[in-house]
Amino acid sequence: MNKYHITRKTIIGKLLISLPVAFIIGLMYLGAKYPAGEDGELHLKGYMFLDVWYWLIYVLIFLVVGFLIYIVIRKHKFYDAGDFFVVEKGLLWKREVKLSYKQINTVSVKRSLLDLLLKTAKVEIDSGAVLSPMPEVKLHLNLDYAKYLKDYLDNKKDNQSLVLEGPKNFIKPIKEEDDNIIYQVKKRSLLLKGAISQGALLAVFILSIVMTTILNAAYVNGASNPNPDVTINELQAILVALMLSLVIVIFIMIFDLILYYGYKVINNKDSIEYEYGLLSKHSFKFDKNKINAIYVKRSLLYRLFKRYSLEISVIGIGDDVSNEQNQKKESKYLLPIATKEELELVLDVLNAKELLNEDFNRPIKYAKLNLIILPLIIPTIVFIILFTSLLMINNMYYLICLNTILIYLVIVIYYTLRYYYHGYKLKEKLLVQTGSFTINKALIKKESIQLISYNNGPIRRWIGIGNVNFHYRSLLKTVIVKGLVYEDFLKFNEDVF
Amino acid sequence: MKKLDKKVNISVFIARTVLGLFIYGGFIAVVVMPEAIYSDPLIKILLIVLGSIVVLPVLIFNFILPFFIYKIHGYELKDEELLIHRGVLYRRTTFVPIKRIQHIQKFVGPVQILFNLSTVQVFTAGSADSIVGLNTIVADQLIDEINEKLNKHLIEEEKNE
Repeated sequence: MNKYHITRKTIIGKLLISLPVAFIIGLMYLGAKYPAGEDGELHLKGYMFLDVWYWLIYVLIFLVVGFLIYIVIRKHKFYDAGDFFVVEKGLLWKREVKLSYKQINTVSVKRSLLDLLLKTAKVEIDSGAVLSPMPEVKLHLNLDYAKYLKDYLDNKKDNQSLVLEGPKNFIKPIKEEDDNIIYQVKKRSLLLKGAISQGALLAVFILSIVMTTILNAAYVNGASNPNPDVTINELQAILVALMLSLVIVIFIMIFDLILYYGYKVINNKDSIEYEYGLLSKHSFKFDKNKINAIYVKRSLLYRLFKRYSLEISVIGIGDDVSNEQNQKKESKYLLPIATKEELELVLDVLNAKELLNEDFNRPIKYAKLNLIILPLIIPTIVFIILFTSLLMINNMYYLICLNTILIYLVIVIYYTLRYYYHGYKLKEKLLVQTGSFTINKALIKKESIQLISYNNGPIRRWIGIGNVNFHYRSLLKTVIVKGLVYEDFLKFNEDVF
Repeated sequence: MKKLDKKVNISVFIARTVLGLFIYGGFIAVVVMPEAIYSDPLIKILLIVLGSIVVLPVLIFNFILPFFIYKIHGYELKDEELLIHRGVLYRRTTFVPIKRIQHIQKFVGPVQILFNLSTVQVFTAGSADSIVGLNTIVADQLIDEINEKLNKHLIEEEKNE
């Protein structure tokens, strides 16, 4: 049984750890050698760094730490053990991960900026366990070998006779041109995505409201002050808000261009591959039958520009590991921005044409009361109190009053649109449409639905309606159909299970 | 619908009271503290108003709602599904198909030990629900019954494959 090592180039990234360690120990030497100042602290001077011993210690520590890292890297091995793929690592704390080829859910290849420079990549292997947020295995390998290993792992479960080649004498196979590309993004489309994203629109709206509110208040206070230091008028306030909004939109456009650069989706017989990224490259492959849910999302501006975005939910393919929560998102863009034709092509491949459906069943009983009037009670009370208070305080706050009316109108439109778009359809799959400014359509396989619950508070219970929550195979995600009667819930249970 | 144990009300009441003591303690401290320790007397008034907004729902949650649990909560175990009824003010009925159950867990909290009560947690792939406040013997019987139905279903499924 041949055991293979990860690439030696890993040491270049890891050596960056030994630089600060050597620097800190070198400083400790300087602290011991030179006397402290009157305040009891050592004041570093340039001549201290001319000390030969400082540099000898620096180099020695650098080499010792580097050597230790090298040994740890050489202990990181992987090999094929019949039905299992095994990874060993660790010097003092040894760890062995044994993954059955059949259990492997997704294999992804990721490249950071350093990987791009070194022509290396990280292969991440995930078994798809819902309660384990991180991939079970990470291997740092040469780029060509990483791609080979990914293909090997993807195919081994169906072809037991495959033999794992070692990275040492690996020769890059000549790859044929890929004819199966079903989607490839253009740079212009990515810039458009940034400009019309929901985040950009929201940022512009909030910024305009905040800036005009603050500056209107500053103007009114300045006018009542006999010697104002700053005088500003409404036109300047609006111009500042516009300038800042423009900067935010440009920033989002550039960010999206870098993040999704070269985005392409490749259709294989049973699987889908996609890759993207400029500074750090990502590539994923997953089985079509492992898709639990498919989402089509259209923000307000997406609809205006006749664009669509498509996301999928496959446990284990998430690459967006949030550092704060260390949680994996399993839902991913498959199409960050697409025209209707591009969307139709991909939906055809995924056998999810139902998502183009515009005909939905809608909640009937007290629908307007439930979806518009009840949610508007608190915002209306707040609006009336705020608006009358503002008028009573100072009638010069007309820009702030205008903003208050604007926000209230946005809330009213939000709930009204939500009423018009809310719908569902249950046939072979469950299709739910929600949202208001952004319309979300979710298509969920019946087999993926795990349990259904019916929820209502005191008011909705009194009028005899509630929400039906569908919990499906995902990281604690649900889709909610609002304003249904208990009989609808029982009918759903009958139809789904 | 099968009921929970009658002692569930008092058990939940005690558990909530223990947790609520921290909130009540904090609120009483704000009220009792002399105004002098605040830089502005308005801060004390503001803290009392905000505290009241928090304490009032906690009082309802603690002293009123637990006494309706026995009356409202319950479960129904049928051949193909488990129905769980929960909630007093905000109610929830969960339909768990037996064939989707991945595993079942029994949990006993420190207050539940005093009343010989248990919580049965039912897990599916990606979701979970629980029946809180069953007599421990009843909980064990329920787990056995669900497992029996689940095994029966798995055997049938294997045969069909």
